[in-house]
Amino acid sequence: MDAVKIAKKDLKSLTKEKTIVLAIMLLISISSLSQIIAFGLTVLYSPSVHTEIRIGLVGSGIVFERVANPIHFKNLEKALLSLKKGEIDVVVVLKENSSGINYIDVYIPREEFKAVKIMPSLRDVMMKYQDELRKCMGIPVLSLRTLDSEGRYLNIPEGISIQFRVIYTVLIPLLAILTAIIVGVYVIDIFCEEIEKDTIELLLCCVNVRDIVFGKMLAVFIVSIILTVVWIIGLLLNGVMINVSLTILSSFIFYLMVVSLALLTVNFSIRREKSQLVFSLIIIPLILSFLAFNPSPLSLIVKSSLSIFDISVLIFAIVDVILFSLALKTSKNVYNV
Amino acid sequence: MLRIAKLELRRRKSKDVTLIAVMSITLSALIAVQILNSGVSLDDGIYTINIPIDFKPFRTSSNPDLIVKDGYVILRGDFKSYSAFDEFRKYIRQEYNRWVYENYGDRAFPVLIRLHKIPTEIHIEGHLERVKKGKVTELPQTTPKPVERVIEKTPTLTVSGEKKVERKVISIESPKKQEYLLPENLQPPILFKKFAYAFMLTLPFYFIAQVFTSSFMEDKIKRRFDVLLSVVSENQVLIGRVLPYMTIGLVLSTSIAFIFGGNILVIPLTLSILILMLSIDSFLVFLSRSYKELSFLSMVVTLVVTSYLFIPAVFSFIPMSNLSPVTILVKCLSGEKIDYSYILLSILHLSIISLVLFYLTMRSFEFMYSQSLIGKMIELSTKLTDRYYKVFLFTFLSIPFVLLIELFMLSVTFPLKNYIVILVVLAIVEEFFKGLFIYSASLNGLSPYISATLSALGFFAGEKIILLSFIPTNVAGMLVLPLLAHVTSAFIFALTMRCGFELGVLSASTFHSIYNGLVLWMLLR
Repeated sequence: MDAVKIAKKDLKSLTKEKTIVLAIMLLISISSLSQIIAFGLTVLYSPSVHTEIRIGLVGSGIVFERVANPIHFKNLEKALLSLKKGEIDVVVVLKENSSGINYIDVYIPREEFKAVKIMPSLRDVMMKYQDELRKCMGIPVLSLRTLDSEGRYLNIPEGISIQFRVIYTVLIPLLAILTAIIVGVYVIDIFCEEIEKDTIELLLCCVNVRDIVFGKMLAVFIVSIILTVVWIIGLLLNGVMINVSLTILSSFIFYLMVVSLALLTVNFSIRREKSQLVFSLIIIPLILSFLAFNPSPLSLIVKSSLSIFDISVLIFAIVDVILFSLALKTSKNVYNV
Repeated sequence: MLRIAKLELRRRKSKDVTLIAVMSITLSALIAVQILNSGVSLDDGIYTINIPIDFKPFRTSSNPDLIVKDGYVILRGDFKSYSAFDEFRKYIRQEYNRWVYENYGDRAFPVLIRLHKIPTEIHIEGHLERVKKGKVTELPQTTPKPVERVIEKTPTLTVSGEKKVERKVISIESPKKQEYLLPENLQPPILFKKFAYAFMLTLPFYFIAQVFTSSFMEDKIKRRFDVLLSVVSENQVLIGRVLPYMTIGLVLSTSIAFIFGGNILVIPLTLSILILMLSIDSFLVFLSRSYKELSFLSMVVTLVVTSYLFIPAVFSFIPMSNLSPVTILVKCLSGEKIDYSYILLSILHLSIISLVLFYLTMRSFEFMYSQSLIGKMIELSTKLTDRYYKVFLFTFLSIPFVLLIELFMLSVTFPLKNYIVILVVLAIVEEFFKGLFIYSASLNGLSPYISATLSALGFFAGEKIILLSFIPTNVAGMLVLPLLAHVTSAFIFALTMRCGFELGVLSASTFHSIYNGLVLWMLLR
């Protein structure tokens, strides 16, 4: 009961300063910005969203002409002038050899905004050309035929996985990392505030250390629930399908780890400034290692969002229990003194 | 000033923190190397397939995203299965390339492409000269050997249950390294790898700024400024506090420039980012009432600034992206030639923002303990706008901040997919800043109507200078109507602000929103 009262006190102070509103806006903002980037990258890499390009050909190539339907030029000078005027998008210099290797010089605009528009379609044309030449040489060509579950043919655009990857392996971990950092910093704030104002001693007159730690953790838990629900709603509003319950579960395993480390840091440093610095120094290599190795709490969040249950959840839950017990024990040692 | 800097450095000394810092940096560097070599592992096992394949993102499942059966790939039909197929296609292409090379040798790659990038807007004559001299037209006279082979041998793999393929890793190279490309390797010129480098290079500057923020806030909370200001000026306190962090930043920038081939451009680019972060954080310290508020404010502002610096680098093909020093840094690292005017513009505009913020911080010392955020801003702007020309000047200089806040508010309102909400929010942000200087000028006894005209003109000038530098457009058509709208909304604010600042902003924003709505309606009609 004492723990609930302490949690109420901390939450009241948070709502009074309206800082939670900023945190909510921050998470919504990240969710939206990442969506915009994901969409932009898909547009860049996928030939399906680009119009057909006009190819100028200098030289000869029966197979190439069949594939690319180019505009002929007598020499490179004329072709490049046409490229400059914008009449064509690409100049291809080719002396086709249908039974051997073709070394092709391709001229594209140096201006990146033009090159970006051209590249996916040029790649598409050149891959088709490569396939045609392979057929001429009697080399088997790779053909992947796709059907939907009802047996209808499907044409899946190139580069569609970029958007998927950005959402599930960049955006969702990023939102979880940010929430974890916010609650970690919040833990440091609410503990150091009591230490700096000497109110911890007053609290200890009435309640024990255990209640103080549990009360503050309850406040942190409620804040993290609000933030997590916000970014999950943000994702759902942006049309991202995720497994809500599994994502919340795995996110909390990650948060508890970070929060326990933050509490350990406070117990080690006591001073706010030092605690924040040490927390930053610990959290950077920790998050980098979560990105580099699998399984990790972050890979668990990615899988959970995709409805994949991973047994490593149990291992990380045990790690959490150990870390939190350690944080509680050190708190008792520090504050009882 | 130097004594204050020395004091700041002495406060930072702590043996155990130094040890943790060294360990953290070493560990982070080691893991970063691991990530650069092997990539991140977050995608392991995210897709499912019915047959085992040696590709980390895939694992077998009884209810898979993809079913490979009788020469077909059957998809479940959702976004995940489409994405899984796109990845599977890349993997199969790699496998096919290995197989086809082993069976048909060099002939298996009949198309090898050499890219030439030609300026199509200016100075094509120079290239044509070289063409005439025969420097770029000639096809290769000798046949380069394009394929180097076999590095590693791994176990046998069954792809469709019918054909067995022995996996080998092949690298495709021409005699002149990377001169020729396979068709599948033609990609848009997005500098992802360099972008990651740029992120890692700028990360330490964020930490320097964070340590500064923490220390500066402690000075404020413990009222150390009161003591310092009794003996030295505001300027000396601020410069003294910032100087050690700038020196560390300079050492770091120089080291980075040295590591990346002595490219000295890296120094001003990275330093401009650090100075921006320091100026923002010092100003935030004055706005915040507590550590808690500072932490949240700082996180939001850091996100907005990071988006402003890094998102343009992803879309570096858009000319406006050169406004960000990170875009230029990325290009520098990839050895691209960069127009000096872009470098100057990029550093200059960040420096102006930083100088304005440092100036505002210096002028804020005396009311740093005020409670309300808007109250603090009004107090500060009142101190700034004691002359008519200053109303114009500070409204003009507020434009970069308005754009940053608008970017943030746009991203917050984006999920609602509601144009009306977005238009209203943008109008409120703009009217808040315009109104702020009119209100504070009137507190200084200046005429609100003259101030309203000057504020509207300043805002209009700043807004159009930034936009027209990058978007070539019919200038005359774009000027008259927005100017009239800005002046009208400023007058509405001047008339209604007697009932309170908030009401003034609300009434001016209502007019501004209606104007925005009408413009949008006309454009979409």
